[in-house]
Amino acid sequence: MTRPIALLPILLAAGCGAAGAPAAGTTASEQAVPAVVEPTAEEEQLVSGYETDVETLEADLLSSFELAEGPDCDQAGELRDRICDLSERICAIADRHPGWSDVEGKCGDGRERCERARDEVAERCGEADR
Amino acid sequence: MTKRLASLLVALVAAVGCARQEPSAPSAAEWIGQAREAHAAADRAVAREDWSAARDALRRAWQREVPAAVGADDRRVVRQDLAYRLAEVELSAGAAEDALRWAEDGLREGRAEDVFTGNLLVARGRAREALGDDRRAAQDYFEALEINEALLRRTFDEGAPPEGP
Repeated sequence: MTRPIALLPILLAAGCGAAGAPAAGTTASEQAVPAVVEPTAEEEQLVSGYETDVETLEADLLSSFELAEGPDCDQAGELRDRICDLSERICAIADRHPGWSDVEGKCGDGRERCERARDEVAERCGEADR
Repeated sequence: MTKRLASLLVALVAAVGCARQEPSAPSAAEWIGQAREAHAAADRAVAREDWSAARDALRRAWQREVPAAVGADDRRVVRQDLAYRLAEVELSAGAAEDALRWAEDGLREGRAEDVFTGNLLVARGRAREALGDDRRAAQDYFEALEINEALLRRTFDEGAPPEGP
């Protein structure tokens, strides 16, 4: 969702501009002590709408940062696949040589590492990458 | 050629391209460019299963003198990727002994916990397996697996959000 993010600076700028800009028809001394003006019902409704917008935008912004700082899941998926492929190659050799305990050990170890890699990628990148 | 190597070659060209060279000295940028061209030519040849053309292109790049301006690790990475491609071509051509020789030549360039060394170990394992040396093939696969596992850990460590104060 890029549009709300693109709108954020505009809203912020508009908000800051409104706070800093002198109101038309006021003197410098009048600006120094702002008068408290009760908002109309229409203005309150407008403000309420902006509050919802700002909350949505804030959530979008935070999720964008989380994505930017997250792991490279494509690369992680490739590495997981390589780990699992290699463990299966070792196990295929172990299957061809039933008495080779050293290779059987590597087969079991490799499969455990493959499972760990699968779990870790699933945990860090989501179930879809499993 | 892997995307990783392509990026590395671009970075290397940028890094050494402006290095001052004696007029007669081989240019580092030229050497890297030739390696890149060899990979591209091999890609085209492999696509039409012309193993001989792929082999020739990669071998010419392998035989070129490495300019002095190229750092030791950059030299290792570029030459290991060439050796890996040569080993893969030989495996595709059914020449396991030549594949084994290329994989070993590549590993003699040095070792690191990276994709280049990992690829060579896999290629050597495949060559050994094809030659019936299953026990040592399993050892190569296991070492490559450990490298890939370390790379996965690094991928997650690099992607982790910064720790709080």
